[in-house]
Amino acid sequence: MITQDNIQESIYQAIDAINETLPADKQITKTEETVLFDASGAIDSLELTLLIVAIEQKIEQNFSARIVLADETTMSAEHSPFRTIKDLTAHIAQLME
Amino acid sequence: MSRQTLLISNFTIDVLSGYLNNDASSPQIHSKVAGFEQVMPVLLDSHHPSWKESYDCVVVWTQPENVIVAFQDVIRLKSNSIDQLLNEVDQFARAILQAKTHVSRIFVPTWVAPYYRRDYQLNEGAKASDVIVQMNARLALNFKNESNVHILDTQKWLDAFGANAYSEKLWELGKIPFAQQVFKLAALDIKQVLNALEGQSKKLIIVDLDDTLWGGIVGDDGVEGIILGGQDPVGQALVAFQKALKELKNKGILLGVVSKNDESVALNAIKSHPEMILTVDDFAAWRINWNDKAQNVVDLVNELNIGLDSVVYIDDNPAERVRVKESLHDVLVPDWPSDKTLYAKQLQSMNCFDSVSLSEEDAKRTQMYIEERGRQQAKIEVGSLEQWLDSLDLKIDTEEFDESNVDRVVQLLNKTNQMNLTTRRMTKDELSKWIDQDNRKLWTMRVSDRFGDSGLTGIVSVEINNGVCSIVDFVLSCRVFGRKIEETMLKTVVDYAQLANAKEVKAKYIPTAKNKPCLQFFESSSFNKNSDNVFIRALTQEKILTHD
Repeated sequence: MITQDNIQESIYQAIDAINETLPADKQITKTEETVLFDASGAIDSLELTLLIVAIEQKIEQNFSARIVLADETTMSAEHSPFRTIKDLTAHIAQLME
Repeated sequence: MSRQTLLISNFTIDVLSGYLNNDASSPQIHSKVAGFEQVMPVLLDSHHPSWKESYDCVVVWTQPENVIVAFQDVIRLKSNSIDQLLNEVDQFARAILQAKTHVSRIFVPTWVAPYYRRDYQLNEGAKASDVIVQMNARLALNFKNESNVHILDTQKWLDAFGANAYSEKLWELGKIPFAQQVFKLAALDIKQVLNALEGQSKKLIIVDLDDTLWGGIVGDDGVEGIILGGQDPVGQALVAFQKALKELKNKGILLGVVSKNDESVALNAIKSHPEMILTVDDFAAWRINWNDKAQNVVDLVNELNIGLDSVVYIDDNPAERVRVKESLHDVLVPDWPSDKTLYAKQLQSMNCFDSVSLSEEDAKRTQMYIEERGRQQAKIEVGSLEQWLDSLDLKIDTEEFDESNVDRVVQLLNKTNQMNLTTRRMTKDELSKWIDQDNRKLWTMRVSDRFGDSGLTGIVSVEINNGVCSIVDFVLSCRVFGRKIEETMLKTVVDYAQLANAKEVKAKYIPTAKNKPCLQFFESSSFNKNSDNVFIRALTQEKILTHD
């Protein structure tokens, strides 16, 4: 069964992969409250690109489901689903319903 | 010390930079990315801001369609001239070589056809993939005599991930042409080539016998009962594994055996089994007995006079692997598959044996160790060191440096760790530039005796300034330690210094984790040591005794 916890674990796996390429002071912390992307730009656009693709791959590997995280709607949404890990988890759960 | 590395690319290469910078294993790399789409300006303009900092290496990784204009016609299926295209490749190669003025190492990953390109079942020659092969071959031809340019195989990295090697989304969103993991493999390869260049590749593979080199237990099953070759898939897989080991031996990696067995039984199996690929003469040394394997590894390594950190230990038995791994931290003990059909693949996937060149000495290395066994046997029979040395009929040919031996000199300089005064590492170009001054000299020593020819195994170089003759390099292969060649090398220097009217000869020892044998030699020599690892020999002293 796909749960929010499973989805969050997939996000964390993707973060582990991205962290392999980030310097120590830019590592993404694995907590629900971690801010990924907001006006202050917690992670830069390149890192966000890598993270989006890595999460899509992990979701496909773990649940055999294809989701599209990056589209015009999500990228321009007033309340970005990428703001925190908690937001992103909820967004993916919604996509997979 | 980190190797400062500049990454020059026409795509987003930051992921490679991240992997290079985050990998703490030796050699550490600190990389920076030159401006996006700045390939030609950076290569051609030596005052470009990217060169404000100094670098040891550059990586020039490009997509062909963006640096070779004629290739765009190929991927658009427009008519094209292959001569014009190859001419552009030559120009691009010349641009890459401009970087030689800034760095000592240039890495060039090969070109690959763009992922979106289909070949539409076109005939041979019209396909982009065919043209790419020609372009890469031409690029390689341009770098054939460039010892500091290293071509890396991009296709190998892509093949490891098949269809997942590319990510259209990464390309469209971030101009990243390959999946993240491809860059991880690229980073590993770059580090491994650097390791090979700096003499850090593994030099010895120690293998177990039962269920490793052959299937079954020879002591129980007998020679005729072990599984090797024939129609058995496991037997065939073990033949493939032995062939892979033999290939490595042929490129200069030593093979050794550590096995819990009766020595005569095990050696008889190696000598008499009709499907054995490896022969007794393929092994530089062995310890076949019932003793602790970790101790046997130490004994064998001591016999061969190499460091434990140059050793890979392969054993099917997990308990023995743990024993060696936990007691000898420097030895690389890879996890080994329980499925014997995977042995060859596992060995071939290890890049720790990579080397950037293959010399005559590499090909003969095992033979040289076999000859050494003969020498040691003679030592036991003869008794004293002096008697033994006399019995060897040792011959040392000292030659001045010239272009004919430059490749071997560079290889020895960059690979030798133990008897090495300063551990100075140099490229061919750097060495040629260094020697091109009247106050500098470099001699090579070729060593042979009645057991065989050890080849060019010693280097000594000096620089004379203000009447002081300073030894810059004092390098001797571990294979020929302790045969008074070291003394002959010093004599060469002293004789030259006297002829040049120098008042003293000076050797400054620079300690590393591995070159203590060199310190011990200088401490036992007639040079006087002062407090900071500097050894002085005033030239009024008596000449050093040598073994002629």
